[in-house]
Amino acid sequence: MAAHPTVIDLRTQRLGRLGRLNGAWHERALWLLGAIVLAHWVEHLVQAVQIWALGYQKPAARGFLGAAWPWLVTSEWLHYGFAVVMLAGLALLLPGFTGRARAFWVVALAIQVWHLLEHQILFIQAQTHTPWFGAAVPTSVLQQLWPAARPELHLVYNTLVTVPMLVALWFHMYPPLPERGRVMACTCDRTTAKAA
Amino acid sequence: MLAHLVTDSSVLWYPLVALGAPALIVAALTRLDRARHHRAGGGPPASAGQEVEAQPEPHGEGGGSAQARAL
Repeated sequence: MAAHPTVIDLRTQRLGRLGRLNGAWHERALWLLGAIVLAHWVEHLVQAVQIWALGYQKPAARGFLGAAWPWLVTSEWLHYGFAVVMLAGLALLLPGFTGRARAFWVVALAIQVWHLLEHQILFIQAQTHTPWFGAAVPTSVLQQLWPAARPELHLVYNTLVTVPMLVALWFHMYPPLPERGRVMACTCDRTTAKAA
Repeated sequence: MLAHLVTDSSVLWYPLVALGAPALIVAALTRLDRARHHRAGGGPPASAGQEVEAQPEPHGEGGGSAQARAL
């Protein structure tokens, strides 16, 4: 029996490529974003081990890729790049989320906006070789409150983004009872049998 | 080395919170949903202090919530 287009099918068709990204490609795109988030966490956790387990001075603790290519960290390109890609992923994949999952995804997106703003400030200072706020090295806004706590601050940021992201992903895959049976354009729902 | 990491800094809290907090939030909201579903669906309401019996996930053959089946 031929499937009739649903409202969501029609909407995703109208959205073109963005619609496909939030329809047939949503699951694969979320896996890709998840891999990027994980890679970012690896950088921060390696940096944490370098500081608190290996006794590196904080400026010398540059994470995994930064250990091999220090300029990636000193130029701010690495973490600025992660922040841009994560924000782009969160924004581009938002239309595929509905209900409670969407609410949590929006929270992650909002926190990531602030996180990117902080990295934007750091990136400009590094690229122009002009530290702001009277500091000797690039610093961000909240670092003014905790000047020596940049690694901790960015662990907090990543935690605050990851928590609502994971909650959103769970409710996207396993929608809460009142939302079960809603038609979604993507293949992420694990509570409905895949159409043969 | 690991002991130093745990005792001399709180750094391990960040990944633990990043993994643990979502699980707690999901568990709490799912429990609330089930309790609400019980009440709305005519199931026996849980009395004060009574544990709301967790229903098996409506996965697989023959599964699906009342709402899902109705749609």
